[in-house]
Amino acid sequence: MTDLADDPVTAPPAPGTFDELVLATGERMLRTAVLLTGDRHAAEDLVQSAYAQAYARWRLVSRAENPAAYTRAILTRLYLSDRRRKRVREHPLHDKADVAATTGDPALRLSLMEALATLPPLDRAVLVLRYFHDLPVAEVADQTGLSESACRTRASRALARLRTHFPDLND
Amino acid sequence: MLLHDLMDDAVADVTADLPELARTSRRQGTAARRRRRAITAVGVAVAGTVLAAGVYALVPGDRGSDSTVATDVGTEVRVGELSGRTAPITARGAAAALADAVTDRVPGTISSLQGSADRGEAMATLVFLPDHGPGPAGTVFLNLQPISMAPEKPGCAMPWMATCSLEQQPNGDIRRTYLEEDDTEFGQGSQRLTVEVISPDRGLRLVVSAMNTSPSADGAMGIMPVLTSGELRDIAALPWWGRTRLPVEYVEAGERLDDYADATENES
Repeated sequence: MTDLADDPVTAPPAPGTFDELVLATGERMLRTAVLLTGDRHAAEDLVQSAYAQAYARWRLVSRAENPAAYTRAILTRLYLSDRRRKRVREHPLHDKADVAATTGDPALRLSLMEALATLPPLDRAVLVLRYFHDLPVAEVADQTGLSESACRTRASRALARLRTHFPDLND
Repeated sequence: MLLHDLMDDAVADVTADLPELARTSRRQGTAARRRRRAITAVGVAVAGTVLAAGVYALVPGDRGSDSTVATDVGTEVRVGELSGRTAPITARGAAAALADAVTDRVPGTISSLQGSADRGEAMATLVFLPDHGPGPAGTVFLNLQPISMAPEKPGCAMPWMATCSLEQQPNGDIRRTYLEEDDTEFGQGSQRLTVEVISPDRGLRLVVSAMNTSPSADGAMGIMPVLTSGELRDIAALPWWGRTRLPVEYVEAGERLDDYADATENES
């Protein structure tokens, strides 16, 4: 799947209103949040908070070069801040019914969410931004507050960990 | 199997009620705006005159029609569109400019502003708590110095740099970005992210940094500094920074800062 908002070739015109931004990016943002949190309800809260902050600073967001990327940066930082505050030790999904209801191979999907849940929040964020959104390392570094070399290190370490669950995994 | 595909598949049928999401987010965002305004008890308007002709050698940066600097003691400084006029830098003006540069990029609360401007060098520092995080607040620091203060050959091989990058800018400026960890003052776990710009054309060395803690945090550390390297680079790239002059709007706004203390006795 391509993140249209990030693709310089196929990107639609920048959203002119807040509602247009949500309509254009909301689904992708929610999927990002599910991958980050591993929990649908937490993901919905996270996405809503991110858009609320974007709305509160709409004048700034709307003039950003890429309002969608700006909002995703808010979401990433909210996620990382929240993880730190709660000091949540992430566990594998308990609500297996939620996951099983999705398409594709349920066993594989559960394994991915379980595997992601074993990663520290920063590593998880790096992987999601780097591999789900296909962002360049420099942009991942900006959004997570890490240096580029730290991003590469974390991505490499996290991939190695995922490969214990998925030996055939390619990055 | 590609990780991208695996992730895509895992969330392929996650869908959202987008109109409802927009509605609830707007409502929550409106409440956040109100909360922010509620802590700004005193409004001081500094209306900037918009001049068609730029006075700066470099055009002012892209900014909104106004921006707000909120301090935790209830002062709001509203800075209008920059006119292009400049005035001799003051310690207060440097602090106001830094506060505006920060909050123009990241919503949050500013407190504990300090500044100094003396003998062709200026400094400002403040404590910043982004809206999007639980804290703790982190110190943000700015230094405007003559280029003679810059290292002769800036490099990345210093032992205190946990990470570092060095870039030559198209305009001849050199930009160095580096992270220091376990600061001697703040202890283990502290981080200081710094962007340093050395500008031969302007005869300027600009250093702006952000920490994941502050003197008032009682040892609490954030997971990362309160500003990212990208945000620090944006602040460092503002074209009006100078060690002897600032946009007149900031100099005037600085006079109205409440939560402010001179960092030195000798303000110029």
